Amino acid sequence: MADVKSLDTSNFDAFMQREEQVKVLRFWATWCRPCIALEPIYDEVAGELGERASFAEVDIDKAPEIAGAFGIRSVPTVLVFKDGKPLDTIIGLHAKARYVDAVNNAV
Amino acid sequence: MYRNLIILGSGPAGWTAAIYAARAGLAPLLLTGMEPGGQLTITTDVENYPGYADPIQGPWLMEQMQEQAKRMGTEVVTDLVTRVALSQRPFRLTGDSGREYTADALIIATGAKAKWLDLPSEAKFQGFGVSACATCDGFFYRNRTVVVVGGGNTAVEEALFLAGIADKVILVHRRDRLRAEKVMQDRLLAHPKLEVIWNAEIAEIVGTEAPRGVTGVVLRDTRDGAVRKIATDGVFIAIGHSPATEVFAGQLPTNDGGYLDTAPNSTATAVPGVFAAGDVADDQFRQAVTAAGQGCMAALEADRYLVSLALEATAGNAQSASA
Repeated sequence: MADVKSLDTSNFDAFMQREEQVKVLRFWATWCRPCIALEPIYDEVAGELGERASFAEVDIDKAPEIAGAFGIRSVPTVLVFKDGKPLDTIIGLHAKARYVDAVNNAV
Repeated sequence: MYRNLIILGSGPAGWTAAIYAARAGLAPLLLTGMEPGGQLTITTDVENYPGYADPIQGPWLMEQMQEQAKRMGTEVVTDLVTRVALSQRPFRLTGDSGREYTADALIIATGAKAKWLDLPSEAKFQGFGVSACATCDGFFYRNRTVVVVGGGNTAVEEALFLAGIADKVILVHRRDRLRAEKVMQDRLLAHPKLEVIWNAEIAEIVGTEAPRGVTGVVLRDTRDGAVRKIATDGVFIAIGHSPATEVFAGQLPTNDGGYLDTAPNSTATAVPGVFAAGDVADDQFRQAVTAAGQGCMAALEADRYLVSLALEATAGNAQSASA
């Protein structure tokens, strides 16, 4: 299974500068139940598509600066980037197919 | 994957059905749906579920029900059913995971989803100031002003929760009185950070493009149609719920509100062997405790149905053996 990397301000820039074209970020919080419900779905998507995109997550309590920089005002939010540019924003909890499609559209 | 009985949904109706079905020896399989635990997992204090003298937390209550159902022998799978075929026996279900399930009896306890206002500006700002989950997104409104739309228990509960975070909370309700329980209304009206705007509905949500974000709402007076704009950083929609029945469309009859039709004093739907419990079928009460009660009824009725199926099969076998 592909690794979902936990990001904070210490490793965020390095992750975003990695050479993979498509990067996926999940913004979440420990007190947000839909975020907890999304976690296994996200891990599954990362497991299936980890070869074609790199997956990471940001705990907004630990890295509010990163959430602020992307204008996150709702969790869970998943952002899909291609070549460093945001391509898709998925707000709220959705079925797995929504995330799979978003990543497949980007690769 | 075949089972005697499959239960769809993991709110109070689903877990209670599972507890009773497991104790009846039916070894049920429960598919949690997308949001394990259902609506109660995004609430805060629960004060009206009997058996607890002090307020309990919604998520904790759901964890307890899940543990109880598992301990009795319920198998739990995290999956969302995206397709059903109820005209064939056994019933056939397909999950978001791609897995296929079959069952002789089905209990539908898929609950209800938050309703939206259905304004184009609402969709545009969803996630950028518009939310239907105060416990998820309240965090972003520390020391800010927020509007809550609605007049029922959920709206008042969300307003009170947000008052603990935001600087000011404005409840906008289209009538001149609230539907919420009296005790909730009293707390709301006594709260120094809370203001209620009566007889008003949201005509439009306004905001900035870059960065995208809400800056205000246009209110329309429900009596004379007069409009005015008020400033706010966020809008929380709490105007009720609609039943989660899309997947059964065309296969199970619903009433005008979209709730699954069940026989009087029963959870039986129009398809023998399919039962419905909780908010997916209940347009009257919609409480955790009534959902649990209906879950119990559904399990008892499913058990009776499965016994009658087994008896028919035995009778059929005896007939063909003697023929």
